[in-house]
Amino acid sequence: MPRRTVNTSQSMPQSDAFLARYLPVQENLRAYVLALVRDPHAADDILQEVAMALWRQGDGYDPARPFLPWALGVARNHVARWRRDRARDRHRFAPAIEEGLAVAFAELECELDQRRAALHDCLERLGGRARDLLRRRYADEASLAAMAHDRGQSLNAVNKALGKVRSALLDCTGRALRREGA
Amino acid sequence: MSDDLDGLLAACADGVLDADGAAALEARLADPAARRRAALWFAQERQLLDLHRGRSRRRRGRWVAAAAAGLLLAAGALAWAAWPRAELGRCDDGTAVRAGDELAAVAPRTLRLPDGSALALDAGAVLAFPGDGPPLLRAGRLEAEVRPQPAGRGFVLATPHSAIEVLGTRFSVAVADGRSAVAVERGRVRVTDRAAGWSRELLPGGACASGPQAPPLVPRDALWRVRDHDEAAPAGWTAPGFDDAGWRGGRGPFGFGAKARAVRSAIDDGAGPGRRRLTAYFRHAFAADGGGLRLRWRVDDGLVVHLNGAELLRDNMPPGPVDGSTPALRVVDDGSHRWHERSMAGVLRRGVNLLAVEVHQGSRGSTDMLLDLEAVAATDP
Repeated sequence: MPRRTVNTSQSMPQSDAFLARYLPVQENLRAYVLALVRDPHAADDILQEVAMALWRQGDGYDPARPFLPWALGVARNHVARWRRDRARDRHRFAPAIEEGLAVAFAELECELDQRRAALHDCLERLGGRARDLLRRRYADEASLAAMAHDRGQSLNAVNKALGKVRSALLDCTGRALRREGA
Repeated sequence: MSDDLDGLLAACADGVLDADGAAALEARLADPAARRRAALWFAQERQLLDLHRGRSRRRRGRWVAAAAAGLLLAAGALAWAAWPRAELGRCDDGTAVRAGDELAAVAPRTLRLPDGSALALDAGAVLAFPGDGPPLLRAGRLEAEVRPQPAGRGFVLATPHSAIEVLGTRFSVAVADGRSAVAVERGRVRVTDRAAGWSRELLPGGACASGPQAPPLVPRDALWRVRDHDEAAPAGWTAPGFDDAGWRGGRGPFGFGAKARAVRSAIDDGAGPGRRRLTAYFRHAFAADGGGLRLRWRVDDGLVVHLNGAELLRDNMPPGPVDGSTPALRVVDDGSHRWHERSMAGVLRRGVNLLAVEVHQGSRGSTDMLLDLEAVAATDP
């Protein structure tokens, strides 16, 4: 039976112009929010709010200016509100660093889609142990403590092992993009 | 330059970045090249989540509406509302739900069924209507107010781990951390754990969890930092930021004494019979997603447990200030090393938590000592 998804958010007016602006940059926004809050579930929640806010505030956007820096600013405001509402004690970056990161994400505007495709290829080339690590962390959403317990290692060791795999993937995607550009 | 930066970013992404690391990371991010690397790092983190969640969903036949893309695509999905299938219920925003749908609650929503029953979904809950089976709560939490059902035809709600047969009641169901939890406020429900095969009837006030047990946050054989060479506690030793690099490492359970069979690491008992040290100290950091904590322990003779610098509980210890020369209230006979257990709601931080335990002897003449402890996440229904 075909399945449809019913999203129970408030109904909103359609805006083709908004979608045309938003869809190309949503990857940057999602990564930026994750960088600020480091909690994937919270980042997803915040992104929903950001998307709705951008949709509603569409009239306030000046088409003569780039959309992504404006959207990153809206996202940053929502992260600040999320922190305020929850009184998070997790470390947060200094405002200047958050601004700097927004600039860095804005500069990646066209790069992330290419990187996603390259990442897919790089993942296929990983060894079994590295794949298992990533699967436990991202698919099973296992905590570092659970992974440490599974492997009989310390938290620090698991963090380092995961870090090495991520670094290798980042370097692999960078090389793939340079090859394509060459 | 990227090795050091990547290590800091990994610790940051995994929630194990300490204060020194955070300062070092901020210093590095003053450099635009490092900020670009950080942006790429977190973009990859986002993509890894998406790619693996997508695989996970396909593997489990699971769909979770969450991200902004889903929100926008849903606007298109709403136009499909003319699908000619029987309406199973209607949300408070007027959206009709039919067999084959999945209801993904971006915000809290209530679904009303034709018989007057109501399912109130928390934000983030995903409720599927497979058509060939009962409604399935895939993720999140809902509260159900079910109208009295005809005899022999109870309303059934499923989770990935259990089936809940409802005879007319008010109850809540939550799916989180790979388990399902049911709590009954009014009426009566029967919960069946599919994998384990047990079935249990819950009355008002009753609650139970089903699904595989999560691994402990702190297993009994966890690696701890131990200070047992001096019974005086250094200032601030219970604080997460305390430098315990000079303490030795050891895996639990800890102790000494002829009958301490469970002991894996010995505690240095000091200067011999009659002059043994009264107190030993232990520290262990672990990651958690916040929420409640359930501690199980056996101790000889008494202990005080601190979490993130604040006292959590004490067992067989006097009230008031305690230091390294404070004896336990009574000497525990090693034939009575009973397990104790206590659950505490909402005490864990999201990220790194620090458990600090001090074990006290009842007297310097005591011939044994034991610390055997584990901690698991406590899920409140």
